[in-house]
Amino acid sequence: MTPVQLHETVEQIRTQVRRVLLGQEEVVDHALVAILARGHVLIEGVPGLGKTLLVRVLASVLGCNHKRIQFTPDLMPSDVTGGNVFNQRLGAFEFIEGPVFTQLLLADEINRAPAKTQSALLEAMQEGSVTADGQTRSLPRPFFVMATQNPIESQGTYPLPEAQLDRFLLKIGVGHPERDVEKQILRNHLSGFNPAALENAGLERVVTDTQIVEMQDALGEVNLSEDMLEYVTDIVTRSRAHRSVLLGASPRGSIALVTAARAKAAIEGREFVIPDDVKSLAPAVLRHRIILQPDAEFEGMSPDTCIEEILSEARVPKSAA
Amino acid sequence: MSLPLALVAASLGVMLGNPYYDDYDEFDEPDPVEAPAVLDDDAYGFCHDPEYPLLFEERDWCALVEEGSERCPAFAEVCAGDREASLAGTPGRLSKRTASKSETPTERGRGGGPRRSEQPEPAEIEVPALGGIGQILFWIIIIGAVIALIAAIASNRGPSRPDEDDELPPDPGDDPDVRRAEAARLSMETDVSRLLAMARDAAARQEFTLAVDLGHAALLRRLDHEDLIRLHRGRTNGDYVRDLRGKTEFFGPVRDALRSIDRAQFSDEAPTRGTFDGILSRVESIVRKAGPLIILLGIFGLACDSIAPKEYPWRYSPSGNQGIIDLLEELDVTAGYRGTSLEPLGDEEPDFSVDRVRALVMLADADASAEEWEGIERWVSDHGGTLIIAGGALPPWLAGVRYDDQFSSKDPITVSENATVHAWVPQLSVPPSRFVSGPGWTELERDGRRYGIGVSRGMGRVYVLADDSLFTNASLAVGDNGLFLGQWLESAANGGRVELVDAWAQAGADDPLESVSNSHLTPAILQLMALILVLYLWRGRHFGKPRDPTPPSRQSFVLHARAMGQQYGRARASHHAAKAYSLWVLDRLRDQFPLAARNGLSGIAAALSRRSGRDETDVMRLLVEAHSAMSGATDGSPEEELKLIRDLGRLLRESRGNV
Repeated sequence: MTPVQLHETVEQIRTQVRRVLLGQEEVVDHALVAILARGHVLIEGVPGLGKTLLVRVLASVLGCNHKRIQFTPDLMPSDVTGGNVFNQRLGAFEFIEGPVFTQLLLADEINRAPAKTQSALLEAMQEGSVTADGQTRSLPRPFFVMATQNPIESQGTYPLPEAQLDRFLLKIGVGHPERDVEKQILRNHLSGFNPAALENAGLERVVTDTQIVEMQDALGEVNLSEDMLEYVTDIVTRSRAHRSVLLGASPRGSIALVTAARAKAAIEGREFVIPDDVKSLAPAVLRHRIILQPDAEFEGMSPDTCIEEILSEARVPKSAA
Repeated sequence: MSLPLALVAASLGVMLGNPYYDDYDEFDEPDPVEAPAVLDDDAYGFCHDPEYPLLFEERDWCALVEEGSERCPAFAEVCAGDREASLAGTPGRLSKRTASKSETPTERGRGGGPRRSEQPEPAEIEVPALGGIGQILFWIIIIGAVIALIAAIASNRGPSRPDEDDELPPDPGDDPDVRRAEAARLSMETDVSRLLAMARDAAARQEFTLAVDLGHAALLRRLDHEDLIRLHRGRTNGDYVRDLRGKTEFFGPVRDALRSIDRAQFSDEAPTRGTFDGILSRVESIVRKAGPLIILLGIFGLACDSIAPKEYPWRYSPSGNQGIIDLLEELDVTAGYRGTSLEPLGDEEPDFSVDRVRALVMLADADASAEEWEGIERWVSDHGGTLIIAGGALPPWLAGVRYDDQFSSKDPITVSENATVHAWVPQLSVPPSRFVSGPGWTELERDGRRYGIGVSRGMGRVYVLADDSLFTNASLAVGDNGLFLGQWLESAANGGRVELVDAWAQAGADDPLESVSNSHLTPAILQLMALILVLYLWRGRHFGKPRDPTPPSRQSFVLHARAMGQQYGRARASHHAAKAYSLWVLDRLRDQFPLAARNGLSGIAAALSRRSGRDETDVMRLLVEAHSAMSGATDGSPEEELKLIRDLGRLLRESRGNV
């Protein structure tokens, strides 16, 4: 698939998603970047902003199956991955697949489950496979996890461990829609739109799962110049040396930034990465990979402001300034 | 030259052996026709600009101005216009007669800013009358600045000069050092036309990568110069395009051009001649589009400049004295304002150079210290100088001379029969004035009283005039004032220099050290030198070398803990703290006394009382309070809750628990 074809396909996907999901263009774009880059997305936002709807719409448009897990404190790892159950009729253990065996997985309120259960997703997200009782089973391709966490409630939640956070390609903050968008949402609601019955929304399937894999493979054709490599390295290195940062982005963060930038370039129909790709995705890629100094947090510094400083200090390749 | 004057001068010169009066024998007969036409210069706006605003005190001249005078044609119209300048815009208009010595003049002429007018200020640079060392330093600084400027221009022009002998710039390739150096070079050049020329040169050398980078820089610099974008090394082309949102004439073309540039810079295809030409045409079209904006801005600026009221400096106003200096220069007499102290005048060795001060005109606002008066006295007595005090402070050694407060009418001034300076009869006119009285002969008369007197002192003479109206620019436009002054001062100069003394004379310094001393900067400079010495001792000679800034240190944990405590305090968190601590203490006590805890708080209290020896009732009361706090049933003050926490902590320690 050429970059131009990929761009046209993505445009069709955007158009279809926009018919149902309003005012979340950035989230949709980031989700598409993550899907193409074989990554996963962690969305932080209050309930009611259309996160579940986004997954269902994407599944519908991308021709993928999807499942949703509501994470709770008593959720067990086997509830996610599945497990061997004795089949009396066959007289043998039979593996019952958990909800992780899907193409688009919505892990809702992932921080409500303890770390043990959260970690059940680690192998699935990184390797695309699940190991149970010594047997490894591959997950269907494409495999995309969209996890959400609620930023307001802190009681009864378990913050995601760094290892788990590092598995997410992007972390996106979802805000409330604009006033006009909100009015349009209300109009749609009054005109009978029911998010639970998406089949009535007239969404068209734009691609097949096979084509998505082709699109993912097409990223290998996107060129990343030496200057861009220097730029990415500069940004990640600065994230480690920043005065407010306790732990900077890992090499996995550099790889994630490069991969995401290539996906963004491909979505834009380019066969090469430009600084804008890197700069626009750096906050989403790095914000959950940076741990701030306690005192910096106390001073009101957030990962986003820290990354903003880093990006303003890093010299853009071919800059005339 | 008139016979009496020649006789007086000759007799004085011979009798006193004064060599400076030898030339009086050749004193020419004054030309009665006309004084030099110094007021023809457009700088004297009151003679050429009918809109020229006059000060209140300057209107006194209007009664004396002849209509249709060729010497100062617009003065009559100016008087008829009856305009007055606003005081706010022209502080120099403050009456020189009322200006106190404590007022610090901001412009020569006892004033501040220039008055508004439509005439531009003539471009004239006057070298201040500094002392010898001051002159040398002044010229060293000027020459050094010029050399530095030329060197800067030459170095700036260097890269754009085509020179076949120059080595071609290295191909950046994959070497990051070379790339950084190239980026630094690009970031230093800011001239758009030069960047475009460099781009074309690079393209001519087949270096299309560099050429595209230069074209890119030219485009961004142009947009930055017009404040359409904010150029910064951390900003991308996307950021610049977003800056142009809302500027429809630039948004589309710039976005397209930057897309082409992105492709040339970051794709794996090396830019070609066609790529560069396409980019250059896009860039040039944008640059051309932006050009008219700059021209329009320039035209607007010029228009604003042309409609803005122009200003005349005070010294060219009717109250100014520049005309006297110009008049003397027309007569080949060197003249100027005195910029340094008067005291050294009496100590100078006599000579015959044209720079030697032979006549001193002390204007109304001039004053001198006792030491300076002494120096002037020696200069007059011993060196034969001519001192003219025009309405200003009188020297202590000129006993008996004083000004009378009674004012004259508008009648003209006549030259006395006893006058030493003229034998002809000029028509002198100035506004109503005071009179002078005291010993000495009468030089000038008005209303039958003395307007100016003359006193011999040693080898020289002292003249005291009632005011300095004669020495103003307006005076030159009236009657024979200009002719009279020219002849008088020329004869007084006697081949030397005439200096006007005003309030600024004391403002100058003879050398840089005196200048520093006068400005009271000596302590500051000494401190600065001490600081430099300390820095030198501390850092050695490299203390000035640029260094990376020290990273800001973190605040200590204590500060954070204190700030956190304050936040807790603001949030009234004592209730929550008491609740949580009570819960924790009761849990610990239940762990320590599991058997007693089966009987509830009373069992724990009994066990604690036995172990600690405290009164059981007291322990029970504390435990009940803790239980109430734990369940949130109490609403005590922060002090009470803090006391509970402390009591519980003590109880826990007494129970040998670990706090």
